[in-house]
Amino acid sequence: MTVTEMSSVPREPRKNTNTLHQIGRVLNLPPSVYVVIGLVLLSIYMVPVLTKTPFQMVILRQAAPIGLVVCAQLLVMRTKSIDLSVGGIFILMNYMVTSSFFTSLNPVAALAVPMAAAILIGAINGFFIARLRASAVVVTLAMGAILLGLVLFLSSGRPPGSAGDFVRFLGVGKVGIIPVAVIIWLGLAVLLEIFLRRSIYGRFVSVIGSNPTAAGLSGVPVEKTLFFTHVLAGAFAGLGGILLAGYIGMGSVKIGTDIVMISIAGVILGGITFGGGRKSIYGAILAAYALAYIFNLMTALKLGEPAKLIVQGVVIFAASAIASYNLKRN
Amino acid sequence: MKLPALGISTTSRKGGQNLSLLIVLIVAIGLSVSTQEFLSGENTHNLVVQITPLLLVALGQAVVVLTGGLDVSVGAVIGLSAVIITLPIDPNLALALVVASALVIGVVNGLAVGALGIHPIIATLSTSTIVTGIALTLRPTPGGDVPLWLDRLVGTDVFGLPVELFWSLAAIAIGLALLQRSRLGLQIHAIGGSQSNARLAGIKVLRTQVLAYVICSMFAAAAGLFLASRISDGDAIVGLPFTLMSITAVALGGVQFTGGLGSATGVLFGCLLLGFLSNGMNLLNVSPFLQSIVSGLLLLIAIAFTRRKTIGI
Repeated sequence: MTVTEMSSVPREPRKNTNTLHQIGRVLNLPPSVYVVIGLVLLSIYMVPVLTKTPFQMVILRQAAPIGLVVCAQLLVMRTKSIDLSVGGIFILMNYMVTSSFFTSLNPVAALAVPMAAAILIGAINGFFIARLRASAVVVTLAMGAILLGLVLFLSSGRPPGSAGDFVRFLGVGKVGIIPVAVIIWLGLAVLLEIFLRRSIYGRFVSVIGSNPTAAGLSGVPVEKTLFFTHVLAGAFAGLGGILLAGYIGMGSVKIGTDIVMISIAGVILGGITFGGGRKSIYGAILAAYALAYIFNLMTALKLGEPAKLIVQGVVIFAASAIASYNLKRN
Repeated sequence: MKLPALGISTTSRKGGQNLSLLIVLIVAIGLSVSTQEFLSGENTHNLVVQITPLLLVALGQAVVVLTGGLDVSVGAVIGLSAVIITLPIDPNLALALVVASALVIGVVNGLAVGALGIHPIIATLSTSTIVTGIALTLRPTPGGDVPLWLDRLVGTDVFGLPVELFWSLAAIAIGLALLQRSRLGLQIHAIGGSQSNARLAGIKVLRTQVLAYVICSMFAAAAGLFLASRISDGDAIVGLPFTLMSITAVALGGVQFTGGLGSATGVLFGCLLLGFLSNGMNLLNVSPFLQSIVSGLLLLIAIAFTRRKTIGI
């Protein structure tokens, strides 16, 4: 047993090689790795058609908006902050790209104006959280409520219209067999990873995550970094919202309610915790894929919305329990 | 931000309740001048009915916030208890199940935060999703009948006063006794102030945390019973807006989200303020969608005034 576990995690050997340590080391991989393995095995056994390429492409395309909002959430969570307004941003993006005013604009403006709005929302969040030092939970919760109210007010409660051609192309278009949305998602995730690893900003993010007070004392611009992180998170969430609106194609005012939950689930599954956790992005990418996979598998198994909620909650609870166990152990 | 003129000092553990009282009074006076209906008997009755469930949830929320945590599962607990009480089973059994489920959810939340060390938002967000899932499984669409005993406790008059007033008075009395007069209240404030110092002072931190989450779930369950009786229906998602509203009321009541500072009277003022504002906007014919924007903005303003040292969550 110990031999197989060792071989599955190729790392430099440690002096202490008792069984508990090795189990712990396996548990140290992002939880999403196990969820994906479990899901693939389960679907081979129960719904083999899900593992075929066309279905995998469907799952990946659905994973794209999730993946982008997970990137947004992991950025803020790594700096010990949180963004609960991503659901509101999704709703606003959906409204903006499907209302007739914006669909009549040229493609660049139809994309740029909603993105500018998302960045502005991130900046407002950042201002309150970094500059005024208000609680991120309360600020972003309030922002989410304001955005939902704003969209309901502007649309008088009914969905506006359908998405323009360009946004629609981003959501459902394909290059070969690969969906455009997947290319955007993976491309940006990799860029983000490189940026976080290579730039000074990335260093600041890690340092603030470990200890904001110590970071401030050693001259790290905590306020500026936190502000910029929220702006970046707003942009990622905005793009995710646009991709989802393009995928659905129509206006909806119910779209973002569970996005907050899904984004946090993705971050936890990706092995990232408040203030740190594992740095590499592949956990988060797999997590978005795993979440989209879970929803498809449960739909294939004809499980209803309530069952999906329960599974989602259990998965997050278990993953975060394991994550905090690891943190304590180290 | 210090406002010594209003009696807000950093040494009182009651938080910024006096500022809230001042705003409540300003809003109340403003509304009674600008509308004729605000002070009428019918509208005061409506106000009591509107504020009571919020007060129940917010008092529970305040207990958790005072420990330095946050409970976003209150809305789900409200829904679950509203669903359970309207199940076609023996009313006594239903009540026992409501209490038992609230107890279990509270203990799970408390242990997840205190023993497992999961962040309060993540812990309670996941229990919230699970609980909503269970409530929706039990009752996918609103329906069912409220037991007779509960039906009598809402929407009637006692001594010529609306019975809801007595719910509110009981809730605030429990809240005051617990937070300002009991040993547990002191311990809750203490662990919110500093967990490690509280531990050094001999306080059983884990036990206090679990109790705080249990109390919060119990208050939420009571609000669920109240709401089920008021709308004569079991609705699994009836409580979801109350999560944000309870947090708003707690923030407006001057309770600090870092924990340790705040009072039950402050929470009452926060609830009154939210209740007056939504009632006033109704009287002034403001769109209900605009009202959600206004309460969100209020929360932003309230939180911007409670400056603190920590940055982030």
